[in-house]
Amino acid sequence: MHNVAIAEWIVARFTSKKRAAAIVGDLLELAPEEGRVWFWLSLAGVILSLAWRRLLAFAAALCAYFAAFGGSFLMAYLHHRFTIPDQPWRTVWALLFVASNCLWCLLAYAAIRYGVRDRFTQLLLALSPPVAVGLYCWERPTIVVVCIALSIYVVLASALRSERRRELPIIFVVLMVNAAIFLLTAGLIALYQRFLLPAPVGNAGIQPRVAVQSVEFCMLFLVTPFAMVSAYSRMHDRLMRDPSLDSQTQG
Amino acid sequence: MARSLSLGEFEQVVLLAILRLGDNAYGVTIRSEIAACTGRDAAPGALYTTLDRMEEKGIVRSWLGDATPQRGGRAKRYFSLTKPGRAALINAQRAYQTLLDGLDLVGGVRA
Repeated sequence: MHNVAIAEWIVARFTSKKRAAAIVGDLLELAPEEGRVWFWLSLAGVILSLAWRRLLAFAAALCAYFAAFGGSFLMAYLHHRFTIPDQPWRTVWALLFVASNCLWCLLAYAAIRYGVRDRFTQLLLALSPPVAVGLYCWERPTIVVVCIALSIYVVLASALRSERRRELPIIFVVLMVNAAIFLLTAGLIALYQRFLLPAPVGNAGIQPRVAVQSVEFCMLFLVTPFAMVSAYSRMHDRLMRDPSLDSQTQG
Repeated sequence: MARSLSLGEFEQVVLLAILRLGDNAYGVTIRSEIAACTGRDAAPGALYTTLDRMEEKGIVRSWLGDATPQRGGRAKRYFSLTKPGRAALINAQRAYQTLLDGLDLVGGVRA
């Protein structure tokens, strides 16, 4: 039954291999009584039940990523005086801007996938607003100081409590993954532009090229959030899981 | 477990079915026990996600049995209640019982 093996492989994308095998085994056991159509419909139902929250969470993460980037353009549009700082602070601001977008993206994903009771979701909920407010209000020193103090307090409070220490390494690794994918994407985009347009044309020359911009858009707004939430969900499942539960699942 | 576990209605149905089945509680038998006792045809997707969720919460534990040819060489995943799971079920049932007391709803004159 080659198709059944494929079905099991698909189910295993959304749960562990052993669980997937047991689920498909249960359905196979009932298939002689219930029929082939029932088997495949039930399997589709199982996949949907296992996947819907993850797919919805990813869609929300994408929307949050768009909104976080769009927020800066909206600010610039609504607030004509809104500018980003000059060097050397421009680089710091840009890094924090990317990190802030990453936090909002993760917050949307975590809130739907794991719920607001999850400790990581709560940490993101406490950390994302001060970082974003500090970025957008960088010209107002009082607000920046309050936001920095709040962020430091949240990080320290998390680091000092033993039951909350697992969240910080996850945030750190996910931010590193985000930075690595962002740089890789920028490198690939540059290579792609050089492949399509060997002669130096500048931004004005690239802007009319829809193909170049589409690839750039897809790489930035699809690949980066996907890599981020994949890294996050894997680390979350490994690190945030109660170890006592693993010993209960034998075999 | 520091946090008290709250159980939904379907979770309680599944836990009661597991208790009734004893050592033979796996996906197929749990589903048929629910159908036999409640007349409710539980969707496999709902059943497995509920079991997974309850295992994550530490309400049930699972272990794999032997593989059988009838199942294409795939093992059965058996379930049983953990101590916190049993306590949560007792609490939930006690709450129902308290609410039912004096209502004559089940088998009473106003049923």
